[in-house]
Amino acid sequence: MPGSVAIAGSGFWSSISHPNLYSDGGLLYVVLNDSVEMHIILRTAEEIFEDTVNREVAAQHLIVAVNGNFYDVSRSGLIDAAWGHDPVVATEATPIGWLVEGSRLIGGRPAPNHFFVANSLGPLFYGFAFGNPPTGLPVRSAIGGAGPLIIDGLKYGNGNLYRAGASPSAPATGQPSVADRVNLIQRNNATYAALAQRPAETGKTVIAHCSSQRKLLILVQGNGTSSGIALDALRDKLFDVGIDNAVFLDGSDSAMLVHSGTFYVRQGPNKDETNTIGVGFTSI
Amino acid sequence: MIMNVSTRSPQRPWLPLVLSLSAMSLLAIPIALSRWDIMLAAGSDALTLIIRPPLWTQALAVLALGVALFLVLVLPWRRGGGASLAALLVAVCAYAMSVHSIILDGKSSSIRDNWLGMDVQGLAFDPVEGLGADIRYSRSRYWLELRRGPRRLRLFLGAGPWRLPVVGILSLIGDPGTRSGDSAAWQGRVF
Repeated sequence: MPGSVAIAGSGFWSSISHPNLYSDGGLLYVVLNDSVEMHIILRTAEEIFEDTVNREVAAQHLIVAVNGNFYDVSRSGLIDAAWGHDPVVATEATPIGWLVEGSRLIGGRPAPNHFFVANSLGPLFYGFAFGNPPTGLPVRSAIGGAGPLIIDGLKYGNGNLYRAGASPSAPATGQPSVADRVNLIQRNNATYAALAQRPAETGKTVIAHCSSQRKLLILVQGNGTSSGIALDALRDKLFDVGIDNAVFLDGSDSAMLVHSGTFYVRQGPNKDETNTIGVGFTSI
Repeated sequence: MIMNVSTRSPQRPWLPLVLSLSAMSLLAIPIALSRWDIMLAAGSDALTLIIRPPLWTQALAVLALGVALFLVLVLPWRRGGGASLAALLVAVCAYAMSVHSIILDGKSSSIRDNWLGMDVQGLAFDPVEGLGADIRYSRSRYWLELRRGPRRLRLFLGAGPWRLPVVGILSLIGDPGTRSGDSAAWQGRVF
C-alpha cells in the first residue's frame, strides 16, 4: 500500500523518498531522482496493452510505467474494439505526438501545437517545451503531444492572467506584448482548457519536474476517482511545492500506473485493447 | 406498404409486436454507440466534451418510436391510423434528436456536429489558444451559430427533453452570461 503524504508544504520534499509510491487523496505518485532514465513503451504486436507493459517493465527494469500521449483510432479499429476484449492491431492507433527513443523517431504523428518532455543524455536530464520533441540530438527518449500545466515556472490554464501592473489591453488569449509578459502569471492554452472542462474525477497522468530538488514527480489519478482533483487545483498544488515544469498525458480511462510490477491504476477495457503507448522510468 | 403488414395479417397477430420490438432493438444500437465516448472521440476521449441528450431521453425516444410503429401497424387507417402515422413522424423526429451530439474535440481542435455517430459538419478552432481566441457566436431558440472568420457552423440544439445543453461550449468561448465567478480570466484582467 502506498504511504499517504500530501503534496503540500515546505517539508514535502524531505518527507518522500525515491522511488516509493505515495498517495495524496485520489492521487498516486512517485518521486524519482532526475538522473533516472525515461523509456517509451510502444506496442507493435497484436496484444492487449497490459501485456506489452508487463513485458517492457521486466525487460527494461522499469520501476514506474504510466500511459502515454493522446491517440487516434481508425474507424476499423473502433469497430474491432466494439466486439469482445481482443486487442486491436497496433497500426489502427496513431499516437498524437512524436515518440523518440535513442534519438530516433519510433512512432506517432507530429503535434507541433502541443508540448513534449525529453530525457536527454546531457547534464540537464529532463526538458519540457512547446512543439515537437527533438530528434537527432543526444536524446535518450522523448514524448510529444502533451498538454501543459507548468512550463518554465509559468502556470498554464484557461485564459491569460496577469498580476497588477499589466496594461489594460493585455490579451485574454494569445501571446502578450513583451511589456505585459513580465506580469503574466498564467498562459492560456487550448489543450489545458479541454482537459480542465472534464469533471474532477476524470483520470489524469502527469510528468513533473522540480529543478531545485532535481526530482521527477510521476502522478496518476485513476478515472472515476470520487476524491478526484480538478486540473486547476492539481496544477496549483504542484506549483506550490516548487514544480517548475509539468505536462499531462492522456487521461480519462487511459490513465495507468504500474509501480514495481504492480498495476495500481488500470486502463478501461477499450483503452487496453487500443492503446499503444506508455512511458516508463528506471529506478537508477 | 406498412399498412399491408398490419391488420391484414389475421393469422399472424403477433407480427406487429415482433416488428416493433425488433425495430426498437435496432434503434437502440445507435443510442449505445452515441454513449460510447471512445467511438465519438475516435480514440482518447480525455480532451473531448460530448454534449448529448440524457440517456433516459434517448430511451424514451426509442420507446416512443417503437410504440408509434406498433400503432401504425395495428390500427386501420380509417380508425386512427392517420393519427398514429403522425405520432410516428413525431417519434422519428424525437429519435433523430436523441442521436444528435455536439462534440467539442480538444484533440483535433474542432467542434463537430454528429448525427447517428457520424460527423456531418464541423468547425476548427485555434489549436493553441482554443475557442476563446477567435470564435464568435449567436444563439436563437433552436440554433447556435459559431463563426470563425468566414467559416461558420450552424448547430441545431433540439427541443423538449432532447435539447442539447451547450452552456459548456459557451463558457469556453467566453459568454458573459455563463461566465463563472473564477473565470474572469476571459477578460485577461489583473488578479
